[in-house]
Amino acid sequence: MMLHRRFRLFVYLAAAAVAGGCAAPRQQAPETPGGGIPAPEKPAAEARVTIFVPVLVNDEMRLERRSVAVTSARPGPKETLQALLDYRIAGQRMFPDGVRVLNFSVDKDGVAVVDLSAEIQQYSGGSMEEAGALNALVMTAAQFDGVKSVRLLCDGKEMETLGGHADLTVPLVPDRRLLVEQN
Amino acid sequence: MLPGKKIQPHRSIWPVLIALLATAWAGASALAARVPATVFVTGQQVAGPAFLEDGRVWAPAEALSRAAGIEHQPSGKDFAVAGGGGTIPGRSENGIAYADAAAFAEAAGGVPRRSGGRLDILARVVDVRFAGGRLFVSCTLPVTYSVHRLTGPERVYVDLNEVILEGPGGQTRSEKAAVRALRLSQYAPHTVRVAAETAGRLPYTIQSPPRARQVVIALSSSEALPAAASGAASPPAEVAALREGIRTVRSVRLEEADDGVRFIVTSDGPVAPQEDRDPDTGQHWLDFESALLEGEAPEFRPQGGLLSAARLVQFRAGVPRLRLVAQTRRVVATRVAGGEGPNQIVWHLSIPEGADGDWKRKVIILDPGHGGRDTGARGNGLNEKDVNLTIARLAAEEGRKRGLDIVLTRDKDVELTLRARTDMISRYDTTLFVSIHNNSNTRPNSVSGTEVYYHMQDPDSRALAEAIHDQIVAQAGTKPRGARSDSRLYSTGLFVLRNSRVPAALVEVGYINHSGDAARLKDPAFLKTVAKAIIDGIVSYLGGLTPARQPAEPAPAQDEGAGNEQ
Repeated sequence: MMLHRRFRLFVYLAAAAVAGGCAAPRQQAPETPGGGIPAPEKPAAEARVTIFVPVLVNDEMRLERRSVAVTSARPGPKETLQALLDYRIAGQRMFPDGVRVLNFSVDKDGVAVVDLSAEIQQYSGGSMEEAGALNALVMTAAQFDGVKSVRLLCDGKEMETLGGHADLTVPLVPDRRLLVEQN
Repeated sequence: MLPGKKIQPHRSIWPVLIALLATAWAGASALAARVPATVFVTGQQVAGPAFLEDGRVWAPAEALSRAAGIEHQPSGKDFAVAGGGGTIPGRSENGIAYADAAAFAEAAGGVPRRSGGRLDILARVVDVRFAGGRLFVSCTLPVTYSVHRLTGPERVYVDLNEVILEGPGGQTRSEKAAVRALRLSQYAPHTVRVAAETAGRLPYTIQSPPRARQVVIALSSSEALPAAASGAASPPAEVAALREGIRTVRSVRLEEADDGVRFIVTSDGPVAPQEDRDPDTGQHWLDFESALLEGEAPEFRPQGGLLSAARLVQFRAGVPRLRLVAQTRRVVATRVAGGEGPNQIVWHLSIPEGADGDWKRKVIILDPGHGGRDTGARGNGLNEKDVNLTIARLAAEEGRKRGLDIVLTRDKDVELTLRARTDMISRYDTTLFVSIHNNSNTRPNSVSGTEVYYHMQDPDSRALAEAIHDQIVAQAGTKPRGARSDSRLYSTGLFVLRNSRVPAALVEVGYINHSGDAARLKDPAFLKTVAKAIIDGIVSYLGGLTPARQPAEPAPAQDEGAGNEQ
């Protein structure tokens, strides 16, 4: 009797699961800030943002537009930049693990100030790698209204460089020549 | 005083005398290298003291900005202008911040024209349109202008002073509009004329201040104009440029100077030649796309020690492409600049800074990149900081053997800020700064090879980067990726290059995350070869030696170019 009741419960649950699965609209697996298929334990993506990521074209660094899913319902610059910081290329992060966007603001001269958490100091990489990461960050920030150039801070303080090559004591200007045109 | 006793200055007076002599000598040297200059922004003289030194005109940054009506932002010792690209070299003297006036002009969208100690900054016309009953003429800098009327046909024209056109000018027509035609032309060398042919006589009202970046002329009284009048022309210059794309090169002249030579190319419109070189032969050339030569090719007879030959080559008959080739005898610094008027360019080839032929005892700073917690690139069991240090130590040993005075920014595994590295330049009588690095990118085993960076368009640093690149590639057999401007990476360039006041290069020997390059970077013999090649590059720059390999017979450009044309 007990077995029969358990079996009936199992059948109901299975039917409900199948019905739910069929009713849900079939979606293509979205590209996520973490790269690849979203982890099952994460909540479903609620919006998509545009970021720019480094790609190689004829052995030269270029930037390509990507649309990625984020969990925020109304993502702004902070969430968009965070999506870039978490992005993976071939399974590897561009920026150190755990780095967060603490603040984003745009001053009257159009300089976007992106304040990053202290983990950014763990960054290391060659000049091309660093240029890819920084230009991606600058181009991603420059898509927001009024942004002409981008200054990076670490925990509210000026950064001299990211990986030992770039000069971050001055704002970086987005270089649109790096963009790969996509149809 | 006793007879026979010589008068001896008191011992304590010697330091004072020496200091006075040194001050006088330093002052005399500075004065000898510097002459007063005047700078005009679209006809308005820039206030304050300006001077010409080492081919650059320096003017007070504040006054320049005021005259140009543009905000400038200090960026270290340099400047940037709002909305402008690139960095403007700066310096500070007696509490006044000076900017390189020509670089300022370019960043502000202007065109610098220097004649002796006078620098004129001209504006460009960027847009002409007729909309809502008004004629709008936009320039990159504030300009003065005059408005006139002519009849038969009825037209109003605006003369813009100290302005040049980028393109050859042009015309648009619209029979239905109140303004039937708009014409844009370079009326005089520094005057652009915008003529608006009107449908009948229209009163005009000047609606912009006497000196304005955007000149606005209302061409309708209170009467409303038909909607078709709007957007008659935008921008005429581009329309005309499409139609008249091919330029005629009218003359090419070779002039010799103390520090080098210059080719003066005059054409019937603006040209933008591409510069290139062949490291194997020592040939440098300028390619003029869509250009034809008027008349016979000129014959050049270089006299000095810089060039052995030069020639102008028209690619296959009827193909609108010209190449100006210079066969050099030594490492040279090259740059292309504007000449007299918009239709002239000047190609300078000169002896680079510090390259007077004698390299003994010259101070060279070698900077092994990264160190301490900053590992630099990682991959294939290598930390970039260690490889850089090994190469730098070997190069220091090699350089000292050759008589160079080598200073290392670090000789052990310590962390050093970038500012600390470049600060060492002023601590010594430094001639060159060379930073040694290895690279990585986002995709392992993709890119490999050697690249050497120089700052922006600095011709001396470029010559140094080319010399080092050529030697590494020739001796160590790495894949050549070229001497490159750091503006390819960032609008502000690389920190150590941007903050170096002497010719500087940043060497990227190979890619640590490429297995082939990494295997070589683990080989002590390879590192020793690279170290020797870096010193050979430095010595060939300083000593004015021939390029990496022996020069070939001059000017194979005709064959090479013609073969490429179909």
